[in-house]
Amino acid sequence: MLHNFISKNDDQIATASAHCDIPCGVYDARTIMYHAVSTLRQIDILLSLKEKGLSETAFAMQVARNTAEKERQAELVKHETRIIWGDFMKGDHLKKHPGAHELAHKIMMAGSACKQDLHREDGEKLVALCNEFSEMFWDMKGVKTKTAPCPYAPNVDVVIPAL
Amino acid sequence: MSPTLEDGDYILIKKPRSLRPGFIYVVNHIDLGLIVKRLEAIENQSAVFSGDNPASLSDTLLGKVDVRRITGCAVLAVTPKGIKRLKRI
Repeated sequence: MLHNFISKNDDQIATASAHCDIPCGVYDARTIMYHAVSTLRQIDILLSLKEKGLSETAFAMQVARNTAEKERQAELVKHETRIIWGDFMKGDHLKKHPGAHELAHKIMMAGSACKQDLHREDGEKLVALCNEFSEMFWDMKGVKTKTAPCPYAPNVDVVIPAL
Repeated sequence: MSPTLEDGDYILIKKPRSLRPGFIYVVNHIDLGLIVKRLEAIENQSAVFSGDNPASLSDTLLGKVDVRRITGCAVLAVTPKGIKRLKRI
């Protein structure tokens, strides 16, 4: 009877999970950075193809392959961002960083722009937004970050945890 | 935490004056949010928790919890079958 009475005000009561299912708690924004940098790299490769003096067939083949890879990497940026935004960022995390939703949405839009066209600026913007997201994520976890150039082309600065 | 607590049970918590292994606490876990677990041990300022169910997430996977994240001690459960006191194991 008391349970019935309380359940009528269930929406006023905080919920605590007693059954953890499989949340492993393993979230890492470095995967987002890896895919963002890879997307930019694919854009650079595609933009450089004209200068390579390839045959018509070889050129078409390279465009097809690198475009497919650009598509895949940009989608992975969006996928990994959605996981961290949707599964990890909640409660106190969002109170500390209320801009998380808008930033996640900007990454979605930037990822799509990289897929839809071929402009280096789109790739640079994607990396910049992901760096911002990465910094926000690590701050939520109480981990300090540093910015360092990635040791491979396109050699852009990336935010990484200072572990 | 089954069979001690089942989905839909309500628990009454109080602010703990001290942390005692064997009792059930509500924790604001950094990755999992608000969870209810039984305190296994305290080491310095870190607490180790586990679930009552053998299939629960192990203390290794839960990780050590900063004691400042413990929000309350669960003292009573209000279930569809009635009220029960949550005892120390």
